[in-house]
Amino acid sequence: MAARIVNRLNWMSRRFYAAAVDSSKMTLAEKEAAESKHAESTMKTWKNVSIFVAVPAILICAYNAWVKEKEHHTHPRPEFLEYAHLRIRNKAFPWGDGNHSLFHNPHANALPEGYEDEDH
Amino acid sequence: MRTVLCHPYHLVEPSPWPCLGAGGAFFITVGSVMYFHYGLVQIMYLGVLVVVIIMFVWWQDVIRESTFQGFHSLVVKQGIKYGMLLFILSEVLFFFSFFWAFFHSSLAPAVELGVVWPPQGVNPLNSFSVPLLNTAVLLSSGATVTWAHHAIISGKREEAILGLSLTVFLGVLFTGLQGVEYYEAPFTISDSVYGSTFFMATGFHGFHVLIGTTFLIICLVRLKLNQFTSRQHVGFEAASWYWHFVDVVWLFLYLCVYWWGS
Repeated sequence: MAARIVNRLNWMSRRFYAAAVDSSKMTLAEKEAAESKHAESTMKTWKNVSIFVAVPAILICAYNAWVKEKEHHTHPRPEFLEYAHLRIRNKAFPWGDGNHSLFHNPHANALPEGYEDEDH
Repeated sequence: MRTVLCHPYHLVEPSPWPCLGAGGAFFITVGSVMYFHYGLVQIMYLGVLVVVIIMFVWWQDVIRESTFQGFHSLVVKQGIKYGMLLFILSEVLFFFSFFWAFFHSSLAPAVELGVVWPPQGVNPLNSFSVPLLNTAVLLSSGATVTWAHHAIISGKREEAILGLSLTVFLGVLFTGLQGVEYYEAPFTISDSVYGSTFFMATGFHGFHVLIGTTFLIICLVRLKLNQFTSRQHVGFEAASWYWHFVDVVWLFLYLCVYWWGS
């Protein structure tokens, strides 16, 4: 199975690079030169995708996230309600005082007893 | 000078590192259990130390065999490719278990959770905010790593270094944004099975991003040291396969856990 997948991948990459030219009568050096040329045009395509698609996409998503997070921070945090299925402490966390989770945020995460600070 | 060995002989020696590395990983697993249950941290540290040492000596051996001894014949390269594909397959199955736990808990939420998903009292993250940005960052890194790959094949070293540096930067950016999200999350790992499945699945994905970034950094250093040619760069191919795998896992996490699950 794995052999077939690898063979298939090799076959696909050969087809991919050799697609542009008839390689049956070429020497190995000529084939390599043709493949290198073809790879160069593929490289340019992906470079263009990176610069003209990926960078704007990241910038738009970053702006969108910035606006959403800013808006989110204007909301008051949810009221502390004691639920049996939340803030479970069957045993102490192995770090610190054993009552704070690893990424504990005093503003956002309540302890079993309630929030540690006042909302602001 | 020819750089391709077209003969069918397998020239590399059997290596002790896979077996010893697996031993180190086993120590990390057992050590983590000991840490979480009894606060005993030494076994976990020992495992991490063993794995880090083996990373150095294993990579050192592979670089010697490939770059300096020229032993990476076609058949040796094919063996490494099988190994990498099977490793990634085992990783896919590893993530299956976390998705299984997530769907088991979320498709028919238990009465203790209020028979709703997310459970009563859990406020999930907005999937169209930072998680969407992270999706764009990781997908973009897939484009830049392909840019670097084709630059290597066509012998454009400077382009390859630029593309790969950008990929590493995007990987680090993703980790940083995930760190901020973890800190800002209104729920924790102890907040019902939602917190457990969320942090287990996204946390292990985060670990894999760190591993993939390390792998890409090693490739970047090797690229700068002129250790890859347009024909001989299996290490880079393995790193890019792994990076694409991490990317695909994120897409599933984003669609299932962040978007559908919220």
